[in-house]
Amino acid sequence: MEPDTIERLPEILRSYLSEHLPNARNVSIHNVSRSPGGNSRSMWFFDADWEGEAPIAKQLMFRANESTCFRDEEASLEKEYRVFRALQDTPVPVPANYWYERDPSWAGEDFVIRERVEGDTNFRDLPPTSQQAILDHFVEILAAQHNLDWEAMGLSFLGAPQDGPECARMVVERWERATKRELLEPQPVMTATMAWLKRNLPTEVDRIVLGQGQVGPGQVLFRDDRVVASLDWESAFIGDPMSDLAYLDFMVRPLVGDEVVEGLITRYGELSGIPIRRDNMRFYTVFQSYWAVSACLAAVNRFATGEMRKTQTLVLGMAAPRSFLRRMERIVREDAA
Amino acid sequence: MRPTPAEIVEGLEYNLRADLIPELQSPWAKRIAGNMLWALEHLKQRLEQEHALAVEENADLRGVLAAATAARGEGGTLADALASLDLTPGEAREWPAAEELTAENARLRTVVDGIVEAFPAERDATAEALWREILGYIARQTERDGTLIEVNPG
Repeated sequence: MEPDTIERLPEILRSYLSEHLPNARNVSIHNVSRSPGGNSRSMWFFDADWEGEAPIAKQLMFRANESTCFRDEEASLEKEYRVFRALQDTPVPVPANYWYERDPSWAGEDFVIRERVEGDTNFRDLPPTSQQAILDHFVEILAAQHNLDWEAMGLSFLGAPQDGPECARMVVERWERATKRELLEPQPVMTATMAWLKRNLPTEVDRIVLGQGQVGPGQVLFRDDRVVASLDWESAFIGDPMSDLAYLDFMVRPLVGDEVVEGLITRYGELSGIPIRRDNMRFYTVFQSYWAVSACLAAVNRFATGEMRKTQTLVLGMAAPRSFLRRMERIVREDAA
Repeated sequence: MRPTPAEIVEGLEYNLRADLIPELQSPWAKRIAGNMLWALEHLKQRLEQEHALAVEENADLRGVLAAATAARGEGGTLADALASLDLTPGEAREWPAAEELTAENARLRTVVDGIVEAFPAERDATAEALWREILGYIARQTERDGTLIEVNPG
């Protein structure tokens, strides 16, 4: 967002809520502060107060469309908003999303206003017993999520594969296009990984589900060793559940160890009724790494071309993909050994 | 000229750490200051190492092209797949300017990309050996990039 919009944000928010809450009078805005969390979209916390009745929380978030790494073709703010709305009142706990605004006269770009849920995201520094309790609860939620009727929830707009083989083919084609669009210089590691992905496309998928994309610690809020909100739905997709399980695996294994992760995978299988397909998980470990690097290429593109010359874009684009890059390079090389 | 660019960057890093960051109140401002420290350290590493690493990478890429040329000479499906590619490695100049290195690097990487994209689905022993050669280059390049990017700004 432009500096003058940021400066005017409290007044923008006051006007917006006044207009959208017809039974609220004397709306006031307090404690506007930039959220230090999240890497993709700009977010501000704020508190609102008013006289009269209004069907929303008073602790809120403003989430701007401006993104360091995503393009609307792959992950738009509107798509994310629609997923959040569909998940309301399901076993997946999400903050209430109140408005998606596309009129640029308010803040110069699209934005969402949503509830701000109290909780922590710093999983890494928790004691092992708390980590285990949170992961146990998270796996229950993931299993429930993979059992949701996404068609009945109106989520087919995410792009529904017709059959098992199409699950992987669709996402691979989508992110190959994105990579080619964003690359500013040839990257043989991306080309070789894409070749590996196309040679190893899974064909057996036991259930086509609503997937989250980015899964697990860092994407959830917890309190008292329970998950209280699942926050990140901008990468949501319809496809193979092993994709989410692979992401969870490689994010938490370095933190909690093999035994805990294997227990979580077994428990997920029991709760969801979905067989664990290790070959699919291996494929999605590489694919999830590929798309994460690809998204970061968009950040590099935005910084280098002057579209978004900010250090947060630079650091996300260059430093964030390293672990993903190393992981996919290692697996692709192992398979050739 | 003294101070060197790297020494000037170190001065900027010092002031950020000692004078500015301790004064910052908001978590967002602290995060951005941390990003700036990372960017400065990255810049310093590039000033000191980027040229040498680019020379090394281009030599590595020429090695892949030489291996591809040899593999093409053995005939078979791989030779057919690579038939239309210009595998000329080009000559390494002793003291290349940065712009020359960058342009040459883009050319060589594009050829390697072309080899990967043309690779036949069915691989015989010759093709497998070339594939491992390409992955070897990719592993070494991942390490080289890492020395510029996996920096610890303290």
